[in-house]
Amino acid sequence: MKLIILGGFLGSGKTSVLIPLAKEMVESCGGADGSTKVAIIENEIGQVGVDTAFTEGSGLYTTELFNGCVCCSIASSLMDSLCKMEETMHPEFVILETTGLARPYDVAEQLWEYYDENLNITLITVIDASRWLRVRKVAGALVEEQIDHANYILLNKIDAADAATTDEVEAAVKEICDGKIYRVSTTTDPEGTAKACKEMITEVNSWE
Amino acid sequence: MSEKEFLDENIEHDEDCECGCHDHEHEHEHHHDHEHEHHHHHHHDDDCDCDEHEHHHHHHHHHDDDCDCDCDCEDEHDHDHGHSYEVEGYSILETHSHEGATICSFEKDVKKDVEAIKVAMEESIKELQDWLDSTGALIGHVKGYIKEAGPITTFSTTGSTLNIEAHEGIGATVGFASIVFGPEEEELKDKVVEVFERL
Repeated sequence: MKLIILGGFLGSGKTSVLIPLAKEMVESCGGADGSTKVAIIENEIGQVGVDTAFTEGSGLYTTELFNGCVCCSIASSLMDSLCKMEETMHPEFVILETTGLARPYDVAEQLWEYYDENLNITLITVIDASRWLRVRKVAGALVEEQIDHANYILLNKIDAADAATTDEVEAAVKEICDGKIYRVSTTTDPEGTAKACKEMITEVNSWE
Repeated sequence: MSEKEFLDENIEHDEDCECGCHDHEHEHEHHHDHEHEHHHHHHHDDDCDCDEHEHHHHHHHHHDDDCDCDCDCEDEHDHDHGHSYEVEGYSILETHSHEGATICSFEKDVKKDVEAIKVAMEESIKELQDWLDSTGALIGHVKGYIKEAGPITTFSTTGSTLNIEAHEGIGATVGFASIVFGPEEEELKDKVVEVFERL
């Protein structure tokens, strides 16, 4: 089982990336009978799960963890969900969409500890290029730690940011993390997003 | 490492924890979550006589250095609380805080024409957005959904015949979640209830 932790600040476009990412996984690893080997865990910090209402409509197997953040208060619930998924559906990929307030690497560290390092985890962080610099002023430590250790960064909403801003954000990201950066716009360029997802999944599939 | 070992190591109390809520086997859930690897998951029986029953909501405690709450824990930690509210018309209405953000979410069933609900939803969210902008708050996200009630088919029998009836669904379930930086929980909850009165 490979786990993708899809993180990023609130409003960065994680859920918009989730669907093309999951579709790419289904195409790359679906069984000969068309069976889906991709599962999604949605973590929402409130008791009401708005994103889950969206992903459930996608037809993908989705489970939700409400009312807390997996990087701290409901970490044990995440372990439970992953164990149940492994036992009951043997997924090849699990995508964990974190809350926009989570630190993906903290989640990964807890899981590696639990699995004695025997879990293939990829960190993908989505950034809203149009407002990341403003958000950084308010929640700097959080958004920087969301990027820290990411394997891939999706610099999203580039259509809403001018070129200079996007360049500035990319330069700031490179100072924090050496993950591969894709510039995407999930709303105006879904093909470009799908292409980035395909590249990432192809690469992740090649990792042992 | 087994799951139990992991939980024992990471989600149990410190030896010197003074929170005073250790020795119960309970069924009624109560959380204290502390950033210094100090998570409690307590379940109280109906006849439990511990002194922790005043709340019917989860508390997630993360204490700041300058926190002045009366929790017995001595270590440094962040502090956040969650609260559920019983407000007429809402099946869920809750707030809490995390990482400096204030969260308010709700769910309610609305027995109205769905098009009218959509209009009310749009107006309410715009009003909330304007208010947040006017206070200088940073909007993490404000999201909502309308899940229309679908038709229902009922089956009933008293022995001789089976009655099958189709009923149209009326109204919708509305879900809403806001995560913002700026307002306090109570302030945000009051504003959310106020702007969604038109629903």
